[in-house]
Amino acid sequence: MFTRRQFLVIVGGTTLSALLGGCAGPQAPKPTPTPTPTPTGAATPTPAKKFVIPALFDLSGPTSGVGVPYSQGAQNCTRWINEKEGGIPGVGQIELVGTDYGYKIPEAVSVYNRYKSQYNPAVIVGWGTGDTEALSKNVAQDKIVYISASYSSHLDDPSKTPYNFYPVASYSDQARAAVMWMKEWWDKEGENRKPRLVCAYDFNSAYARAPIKAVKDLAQSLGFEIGSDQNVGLRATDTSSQVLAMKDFGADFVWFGNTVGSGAVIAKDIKKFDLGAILVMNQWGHDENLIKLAGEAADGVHGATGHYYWGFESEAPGLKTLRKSIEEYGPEEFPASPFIRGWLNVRTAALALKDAYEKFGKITGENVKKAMETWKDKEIENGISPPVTYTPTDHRPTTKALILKIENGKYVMASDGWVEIERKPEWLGW
Amino acid sequence: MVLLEMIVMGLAAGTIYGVMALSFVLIYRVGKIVNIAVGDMVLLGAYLIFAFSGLGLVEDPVINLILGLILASIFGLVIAVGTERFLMRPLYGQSILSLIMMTVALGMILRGATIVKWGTVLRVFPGQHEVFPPIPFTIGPIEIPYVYLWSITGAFLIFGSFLYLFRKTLFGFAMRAVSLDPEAAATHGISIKKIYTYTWMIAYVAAFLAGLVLGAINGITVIVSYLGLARALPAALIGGLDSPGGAMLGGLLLGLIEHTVGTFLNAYIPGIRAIIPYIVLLVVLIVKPYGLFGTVRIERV
Repeated sequence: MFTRRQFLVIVGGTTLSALLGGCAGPQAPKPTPTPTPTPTGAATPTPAKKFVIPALFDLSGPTSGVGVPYSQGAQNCTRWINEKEGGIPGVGQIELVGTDYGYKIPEAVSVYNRYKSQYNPAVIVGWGTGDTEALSKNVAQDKIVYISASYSSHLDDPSKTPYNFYPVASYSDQARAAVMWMKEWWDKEGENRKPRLVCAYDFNSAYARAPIKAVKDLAQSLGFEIGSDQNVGLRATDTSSQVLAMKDFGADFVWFGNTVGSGAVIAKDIKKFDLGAILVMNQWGHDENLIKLAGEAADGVHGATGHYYWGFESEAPGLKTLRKSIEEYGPEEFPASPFIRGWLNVRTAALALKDAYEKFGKITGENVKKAMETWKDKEIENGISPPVTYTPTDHRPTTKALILKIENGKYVMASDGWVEIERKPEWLGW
Repeated sequence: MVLLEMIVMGLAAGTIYGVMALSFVLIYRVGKIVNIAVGDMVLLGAYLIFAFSGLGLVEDPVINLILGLILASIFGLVIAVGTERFLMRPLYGQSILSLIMMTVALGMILRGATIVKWGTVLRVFPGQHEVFPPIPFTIGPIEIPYVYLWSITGAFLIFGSFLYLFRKTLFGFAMRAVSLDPEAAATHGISIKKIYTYTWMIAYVAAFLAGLVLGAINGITVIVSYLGLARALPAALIGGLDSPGGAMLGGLLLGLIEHTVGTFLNAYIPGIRAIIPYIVLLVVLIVKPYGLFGTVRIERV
C-alpha cells in the first residue's frame, strides 16, 4: 500500500497532469513563437538570416478573445510568405517574434524597449489602441514603423504620429460610414421625424472611446437627435439600466463600441426590453463568436468593418488563400474573423518591406515609412479590404467601410457594397 | 413594473455574487486566508465544465451541462486537496502576507493552466442556447434570463447544503471550532488539516458554480476571472469577511442596489452603475468596519 506521503504526491501529480493535458476539450491555439535571439540590425539582412518582425499580442488579457485569432492570422501569413512565396523579394525569409503583453500598457512599453535594443527593428506589428497611442511618440522618435490592430483615427495624422499605420478604414471612418448608412436606412424605412442615436461604450477604454466624437459630430450634422452616452464596461454582465435609459430616450439606433463579450450581453438585453433600435457595432465588437454567444439575440445586429468577413469569398477571393493557410497550418478550430486582421497587418508589413528594399536598397524604419507613403491604391490581399493610399500628410489608408448584418446566424451585407466617406482634411486625426 | 423586474433581476444576479463571496469567506473564516485566487477558481470552473460537458456523455443538453458541473466539481475536490496540501499547508504558522501571496500564486497557476490547456479564444458551453435560451423566461410581467434561473437554483442548493453542514452536523461543529480556535480544536481531537481541506473543497465547488453562470453570460474567456474577483470581494466585505450568511446577504444586497439604485441613477449620471458596488462598500465599511454581519473584534490596547 501507499504511504500517506506517496498518496499525496500521486494525487497532486495526477491533478496537475490531468489539468494540463488530460481533460477533454478542444486544442489550445498554437503558442506564439517565443522570442529567439536572432540578431537583425537595421542594415540589409544577409540571405541566411531571417528578417525579424517583432509583434505585440494580447493572448492572456481582457482582449485575448480576439487577440488569439489575430495572432494566428499574423503567424499564418508569415509562414505563407516564407513557404509559398519564398520570402519577401530582396529581403528574404521573415520571422515574426511575438510577445504576449496581456493588454497592459506598461508591459507594452517594456516589450517595445526590449525589441528596440534586441532587434533594432524597422517594422513592428502591434495591437491595442491604448498601447499603440502610448507608444506613438517612441516609434516616431526611434523611427520604427508601427502597424497596429488599433484603427484609431488618432494614429492617422502624420504630423502627430508619423510612424503609425494600419491597413483598413479607421474606427472613426467605419463609424461615419455606419452613420451614413443609418441615415440612408432611416430616409427609406424610418418615420417622419428625426432619427435618435445613442452611443454605448466603455468610457475607460481608449479603443471604445476613439470614434465617439466622429459618430456624434456626423450624426448631428445629418439631423440625428443624440441621447446621453451609456457606459457599458468591457466586462459587463448586465446592461439593463443602459438599455432602459435608451428606451426612455426612444433610441432608433445604438452605436456600440466595445468587444464581443459585452456585445452579446447588450444584444440580449436589447431583445429582452424590446428596444426596437438597430444595434450597430464597432469593428472588434462583432464576429462569429458573437453569434455563438448571443444565439438568436445576435440576429439583426449590424456591424461596421473595414474588410470582408468569412463567408464573402466570392467578393473577396483573397479569403480563399487564408482558408488554405488554415487547412495547412492550423489552427484546428476554425478562427473567427479577427484572424483576417492579423493576416492583413503582416501582409502590409511585408509589402512595405519589399517596396522599401526596391526603392532604397536598404531597410530602415525611415525608408519603410517613405515607401509606404508612396502607396496609391495598393492592393493588400486580393480584395479582402479596399486598396490603400498613404501620403506624407495623410495616413488614412482608405475611407471605405462595409456595414454587415447577422441574419439567421450568418453574416450578410447590409450596405450596398462599400460605403465611402469623403476624405475631408478636417477629419484627419479624429 | 420596471422596478419590480429590476428587483428580481438584482436578487437573481446577487445570488451568484453571494456564491462567489461564500467561496471567499469560507477560506477566510476557517483558515484566516484572504483568497485572492477566487476569480481564477471561477475561471477554472468555467473551463472544466466546458471540457466535461464537451464529452457529450448524454444527449440532453441540460443534463449534459449538469453532468459537466458534477464532474468538474469532483475534479475540483481533487484540486482542493492539492491546493491545501502542497500550497497552503507548508505556510501555516507563517505571516498572513505569505498566505495571501500564496493565493496570488495559486491564481496565477490556475489561470496559466487554463490558458495552456484551452487557450484564450472565447468559448461557449456545448448546447448553450438550448440550456440558456437568449429569450428570457417569463413569470407574469417579469422576464428573467434563463441563466439567472440556474444561478438561483444553484445558489439555493449550495448555500442550503452548506448551512445544513455548518449548523446541523458534527463536521460543521468541527469547522466552527477550528474557525474560532484552531489550537483548542486540535486538542479536542479535531483534525485541522482535514477541516482546511474540506473548506477548500466547498470553496472550489461554489466557485465552479459561479464559473458556469459567468461563463454563460460573457462567454468563457479570462475575463471571467476578473469578474469573479470584482464581485466576490465587495460582496464578502459588505456581508462581513467571516460570515458565510453575510456573504450571501452581501451578494444579494449588492445585486439589488446595483440593479435598482444603479439603474435609476445611471439615467442621470451615466456610468455610475459600474461604481455603485464600491460606493456601497465604502459606506458599509465606514459605518460597520467589519461588514454588516462580520465579527467585531475588540482588542485590549
